[in-house]
Amino acid sequence: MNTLLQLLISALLVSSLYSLVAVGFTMYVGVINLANFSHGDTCVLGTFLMMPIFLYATKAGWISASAGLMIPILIILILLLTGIWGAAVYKILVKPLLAAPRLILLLATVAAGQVIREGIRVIYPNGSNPQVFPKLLPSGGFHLLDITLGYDSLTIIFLTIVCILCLNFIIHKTKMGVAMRAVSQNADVAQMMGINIERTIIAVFMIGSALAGMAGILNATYYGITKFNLGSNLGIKGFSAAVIGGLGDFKGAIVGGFLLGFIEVFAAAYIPNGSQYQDVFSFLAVIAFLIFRPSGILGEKIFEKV
Amino acid sequence: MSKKLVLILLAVLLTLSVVGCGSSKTAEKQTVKIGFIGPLSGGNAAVGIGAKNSFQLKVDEVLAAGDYPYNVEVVYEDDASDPATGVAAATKIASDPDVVAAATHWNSPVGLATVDVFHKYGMAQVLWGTIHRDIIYGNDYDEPVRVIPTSEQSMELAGDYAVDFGIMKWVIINDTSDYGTKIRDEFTAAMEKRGGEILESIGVTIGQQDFSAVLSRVVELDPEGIFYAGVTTEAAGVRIQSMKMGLTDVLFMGPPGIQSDTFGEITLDDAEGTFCSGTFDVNSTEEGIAFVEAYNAKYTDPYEQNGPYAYDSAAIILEALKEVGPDKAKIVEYILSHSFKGVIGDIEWDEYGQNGVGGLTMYVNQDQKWVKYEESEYASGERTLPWVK
Amino acid sequence: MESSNLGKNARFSLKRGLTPALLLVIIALVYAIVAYENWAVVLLCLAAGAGLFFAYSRVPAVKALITESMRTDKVLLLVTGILAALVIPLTLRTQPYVIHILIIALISIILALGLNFQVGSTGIPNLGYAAFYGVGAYTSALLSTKLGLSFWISIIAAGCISALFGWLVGLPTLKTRSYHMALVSIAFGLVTYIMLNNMGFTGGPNGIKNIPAPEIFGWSLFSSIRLFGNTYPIQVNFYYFVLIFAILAFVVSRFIFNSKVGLYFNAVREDEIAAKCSGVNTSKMKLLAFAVGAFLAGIAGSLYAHYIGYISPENFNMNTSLQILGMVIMGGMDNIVGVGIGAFILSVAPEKFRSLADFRMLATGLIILLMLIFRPSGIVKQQIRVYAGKIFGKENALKGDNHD
Repeated sequence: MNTLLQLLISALLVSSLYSLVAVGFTMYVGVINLANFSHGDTCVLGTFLMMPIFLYATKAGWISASAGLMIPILIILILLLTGIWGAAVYKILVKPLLAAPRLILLLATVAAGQVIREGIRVIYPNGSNPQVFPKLLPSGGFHLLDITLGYDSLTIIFLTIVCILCLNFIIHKTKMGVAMRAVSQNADVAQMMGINIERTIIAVFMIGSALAGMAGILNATYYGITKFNLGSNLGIKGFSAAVIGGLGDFKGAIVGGFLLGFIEVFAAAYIPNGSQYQDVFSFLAVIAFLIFRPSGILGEKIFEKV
Repeated sequence: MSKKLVLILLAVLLTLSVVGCGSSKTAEKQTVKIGFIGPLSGGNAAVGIGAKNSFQLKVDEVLAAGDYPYNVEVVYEDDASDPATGVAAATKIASDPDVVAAATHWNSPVGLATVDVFHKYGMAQVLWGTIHRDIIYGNDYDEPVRVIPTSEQSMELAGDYAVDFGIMKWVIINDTSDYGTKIRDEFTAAMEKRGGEILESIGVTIGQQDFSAVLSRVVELDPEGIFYAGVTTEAAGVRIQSMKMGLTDVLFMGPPGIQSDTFGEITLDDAEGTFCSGTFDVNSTEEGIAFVEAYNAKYTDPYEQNGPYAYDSAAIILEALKEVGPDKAKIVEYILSHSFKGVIGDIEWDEYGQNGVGGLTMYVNQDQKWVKYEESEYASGERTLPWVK
Repeated sequence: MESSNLGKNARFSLKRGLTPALLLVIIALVYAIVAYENWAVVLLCLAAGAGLFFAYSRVPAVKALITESMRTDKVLLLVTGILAALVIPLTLRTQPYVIHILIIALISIILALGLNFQVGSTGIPNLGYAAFYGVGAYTSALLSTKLGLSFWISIIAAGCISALFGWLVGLPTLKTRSYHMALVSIAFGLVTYIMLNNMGFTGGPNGIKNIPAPEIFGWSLFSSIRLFGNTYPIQVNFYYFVLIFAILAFVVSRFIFNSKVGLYFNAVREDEIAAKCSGVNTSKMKLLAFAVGAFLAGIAGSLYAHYIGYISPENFNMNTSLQILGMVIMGGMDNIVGVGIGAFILSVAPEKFRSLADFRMLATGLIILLMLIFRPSGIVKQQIRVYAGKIFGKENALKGDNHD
């Protein structure tokens, strides 16, 4: 019984992390119909931006002085930086290719991911090795029903919920959010109604990258490790989750993230030899969904105009 | 009309100039080239770059002494841990008439792929990495020799220590790469030979970060020892999470793959009391300490586990070159028929070209650094081993 | 009137030799770039090549000249090209590394041609193509190492089993929309890679070694040949061997492109619903595209396995799929020549960047990015189908008659 509950907590945690990545990924799909395969690598980029800044802040004594307030401020700074990076990626890479077939853009994001990955490895000192990531989460925990609930896991789950609620707020209650929803439904009409498409897309990239940065930082601070090539794995998990839940719908991304997390954790635990095949289970689920229910669990409406 | 004539004339001129350029190919005869292939990009770049720097360190030292009869130039090629890239690199180096010998590879699949290439061209291949026994024992070639011990040898050492410590019930967590599966198989063989028991082997993938499901299973199995068959990044994750799950009084051991200082840097306090059945301990000899000093004076990237072996590979090649001259076949013969003394100690080949001794060491992690067990505070009793109550 | 006729004849005779000569120039430039280590030479030739390319695409007079000449000189062009391809390895006797690169390029061309059927002609975005490549390679390797079958049986089996695999993969994906197809293919590619890596009989992560070389009537391709008193490296044998397969692949691709099947492929790509309404069996066509593309991949896989003699799952991972996709997209989708050029460039470039060692992968990624940003339509743009003027000519003539 113990193990089951413990696994449940782990699954919740893994799912939260996957959901956050998936939500960012699905944003690109929903609004501009783009599968951004550099998303995972952007997550890692966020962590590598954070480390030197955090080190500097610690050395300058800001962290201890401000009794922990500095940490959220730093995180927000990193999110801004990643956001700016997202806008830059848009300007340099995406804009020229928006008119080209989507496959080309997809390939371009893949190449961009590789550039980010190898760029980090080459530029960051001792970048080829895994790096220790500062532990920003509160330690310790409490016992409930004979299992340990760590404060760090709870914080992550909490922060993920906060991020998603923020995103929800942005999408449904702000002008930019309305613009995004309009563009995702029909870009031409949106433009006719006076929405600045370019600004909307830039916003998508900025928010998507910031989300990636957040997901990366949460991931790294929980496991305590980051490495330049962790992004590819994260990216694929994120896209799998988004697909399972229903592309383009961020509620779907959350559902997908949870399903993926649970499949992984429980398949690894209960199926003999399951651990080494756990990715196979996830991908088979992806394939099954794409074939039998391509609209995902929550379903995006796909109408075929004849 | 004349415009087209000009175009054609230009084309002809261009072709001629290019062909003409070709005849002045850069070929220097007084300089001798030696090759180095390793993973210089991609996931294992840390080890490759450490080895590359160590190799260059030795070359520079020998040339700086002033009395070396040749001007040596090293040709570095990247195999990116990929067999296809490795074969291209090996073909390039082995078929280059100016290159006389090469030191190669960290990944066994790459080594397995290129051993035929070097044999075809009759070029000595000194392996500073790779663990798969078939690279040396799977063929009858004279060209490949391996400085570093096989996984079999390091796992035998692990088995001996396990028996000494009385830890006989193990769970192996291995990654699904060639390295992880080989180590798993060798450790299983070593333990079973000694009457130990492998309760279960659980596979994880490279890049996996969450091991909670795996570790829950381990908790259920309640082993005396956990062996992580793989490399630093995932081992660190497994260690940290296993400690969180309460697996604090087991013998946690790994292969040379976790011998990096990065392991301690990442696991911090959780590294305390972990073991590594590893390779040569640079701090155990004078030459080793000198190597560390010289290396750190010149490079900021760590030399990682294979640095000393790459360093000695350079020494072997340079000695052979000095003795018999830039003749590939003679160098192959010289290397195979001589023993050498390197930073790692005496290097003696068995009849197939595998170094028998190789400086295998059992390490324990003390204050986030790997220390030779016999010299540690654990051996002397000042610190208690994790499983001792 | 007199002078213009004279002029026309004179121009005609000059044009006659233009494109083959140009082809020779380009081949010489490429040769220099690939074979020489001296960066000055390489950069000079690259600049010359770029200049030629710009002249072709920006100066309409040059473009018209070359296009027309290409049309009239097709046979001469082909003969020149094939002769050059046959002669080149003989000049590279002392540089087996360069021949090795060319062999890998030829195998990549076969792969790209196969993927082109799926992505270029039929519009199926397949990002897991390496799975077919891997299945072919492993089939061939296992048959010849474990069962001792001859190479020729192995390669045919490899092609067929790969084609079957392709067909099976295609089946469940018939109903998926293009977008989701891309994602399914990624998942398929990854699943295949993991299975190859984890299953025992495929040798696991250590792969399969000692794959025997092909034998032609008992003569193994691993034996060096002596010509005019010179010993030639075995790479030369493999070069010609693979060249034959590459030429066959070209011929087959061209044949399919020009046939009704090719037309149907394009119809499915352009507008699947319209095609269905016009009576095209789109499901059958999609499955055929999968099978044919996978067949070529299987052949390429077998060639690779028997050339290198060792394969492991690492040869057939996601990166490989993306690399081949890059070749097709960069070269120009649905354009056989373009795809061939793309395959050549993308297999040679990473080798050329070796001197950058550490920065090699970074440079390759950047190159792909740059090429995509500056010429997203690919090196050779997609050709619009041109039908022989005869049919329409007749109709027009009839119309003309009516008017009269």
